[in-house]
Amino acid sequence: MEEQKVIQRLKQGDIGSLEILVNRYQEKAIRTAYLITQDKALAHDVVQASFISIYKSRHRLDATRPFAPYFFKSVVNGAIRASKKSHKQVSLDEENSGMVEALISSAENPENLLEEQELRERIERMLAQLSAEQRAVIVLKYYLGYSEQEMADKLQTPKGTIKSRLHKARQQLKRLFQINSPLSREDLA
Amino acid sequence: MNSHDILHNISEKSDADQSNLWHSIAHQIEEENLMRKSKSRRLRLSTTWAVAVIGILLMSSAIFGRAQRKIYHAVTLTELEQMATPLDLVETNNDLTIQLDWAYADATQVVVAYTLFDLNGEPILARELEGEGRVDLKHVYPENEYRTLYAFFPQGLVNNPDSAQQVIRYPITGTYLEALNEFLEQGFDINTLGMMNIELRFFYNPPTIRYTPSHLFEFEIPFGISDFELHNDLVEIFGEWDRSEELSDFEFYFNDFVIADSSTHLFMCIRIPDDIEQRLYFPRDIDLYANNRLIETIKIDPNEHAEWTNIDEARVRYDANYYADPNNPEGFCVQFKWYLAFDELPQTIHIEIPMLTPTIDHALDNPISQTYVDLFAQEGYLLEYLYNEEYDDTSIVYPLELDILSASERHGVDRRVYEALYTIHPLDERLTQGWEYTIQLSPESEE
Repeated sequence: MEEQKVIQRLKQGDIGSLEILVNRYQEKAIRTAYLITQDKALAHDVVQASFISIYKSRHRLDATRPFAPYFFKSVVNGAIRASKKSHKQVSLDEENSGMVEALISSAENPENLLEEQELRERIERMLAQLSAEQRAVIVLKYYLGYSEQEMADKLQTPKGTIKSRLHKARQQLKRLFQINSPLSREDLA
Repeated sequence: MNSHDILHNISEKSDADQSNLWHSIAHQIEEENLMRKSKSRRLRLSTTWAVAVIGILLMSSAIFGRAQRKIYHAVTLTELEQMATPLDLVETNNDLTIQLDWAYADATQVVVAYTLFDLNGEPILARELEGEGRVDLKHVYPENEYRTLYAFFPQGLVNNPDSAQQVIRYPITGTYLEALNEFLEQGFDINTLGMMNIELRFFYNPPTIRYTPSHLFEFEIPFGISDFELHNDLVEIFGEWDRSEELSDFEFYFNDFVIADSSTHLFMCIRIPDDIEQRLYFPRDIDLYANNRLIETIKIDPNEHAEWTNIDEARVRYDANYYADPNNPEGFCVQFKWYLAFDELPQTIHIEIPMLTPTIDHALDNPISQTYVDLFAQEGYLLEYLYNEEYDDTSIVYPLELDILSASERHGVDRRVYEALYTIHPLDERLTQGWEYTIQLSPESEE
């Protein structure tokens, strides 16, 4: 069913429409929440709460606008809140947050710096050390595909801050690889 | 591999691709719909109260004995097992083994019995899984159309908490019934309804890992084949009883009355006149008569707490579920379930509802909530109220009895809150006028 119709029906209180949306978005939402919370059960809780919240406030939905951005904003914010409550994050400084971004963005480069598996593991480790907000930036940009402007709007962070952080981190990453990775030395030269 | 793929790979640990949140979501919404009537200031019905509202057993065997010629009998689990199809399906997933013992299905419910074994082959007792499991059941109709029935452990039946065998009951729901009617109207025979897909998920591990689908079992049991028999000896769905009754501005929508081999269900919706405070009302009692003889009274007693976990067989004679009215956001519906079977179809069914009673005050604004708090503080009870920040209307509050209350104390507080309800909010006299309805079953139905 067309999403617009689904939203219209949901606004009328049709719970079956919510089921359609749950089936459509739950997997990506759980993954998103997990990347931010780093906790499987918490991620499920967050997504479940987001869907229920959507249903409760269904009268606010605008059937003429896409559902996904509205919903994922709820998921990301919920994940940040839940993660903070769980007190699991170890917040690093901004440069380290940018480091993760740089690592991730390096994956886009066909001349990949690291072996795929190694890169994934390294990113996973570093992600785990970030604060929930920092992880949210990563997830919004690289997983959900928001533009820097959209991301800045959603997180109320100046676009310039995000850009400069990313640039700084890339520079640091380059230095790091020059020291530690023979492979990357050539690539980064 | 790009950045998205890397993050996607990392997120595999969430088991998102194996998760299905819908049942939990639907269950929670269904509960909350009862707790909060839209727009107005409504207070959420706690799960405890949702359970408390559910009917308790009133009819004694003596009342049953009134009927000179009984045309019905209570269907116990023992009888269900006797009617059920024995199954001997065993499957192991990780360290958990499940043995599907038997299954029963008719138009009103599916009942499944199973036993779990741990790594050492030792049976896992029912109480060890309490509240941690979920059972999904998909009933496959012709043309591969899935309809899902679902239940949660607290709504299931367990013979005994120390029993290894667990029995889960999936009663028919309003939505399911609608679908069933659709198929029957399309000319499908109920006996030809595809197969039953039983998906069992267990969360045997720590309670915090509620969604770990680490133990997933899936069984497909075809109907109509030697493996499994769909009971259909006595199935009548009186959907033609779809009409509304209006009396003193109250509207009762009788949707369906379903009689099957193992249980009898009444689906009805109630709309309260606008000038009566809008909250969730329920029939305090409902009497079911067949052929002018009282069969059973469902008495919804707020003083009685039904413990749905580890419920024993004697407590499952009937129950009631409330759900939001799909056709009216301000209305609500109730499904009464009698776990009794008719030995022959009655000629008439008569329903009596002596009065409607509001649930314990689920919808209080702040001043009234404070009245309760003050009232109970004087009696030594502390009630805690939480504001629901999700709503702009910050006057929505939830009463929570403090955890320090033991079960028995909580029981007393509930009772007192209920009494106070009438003091603070006297019932509109129209709610106590009583309603009676008789349905003459069609000649075809009597055959």
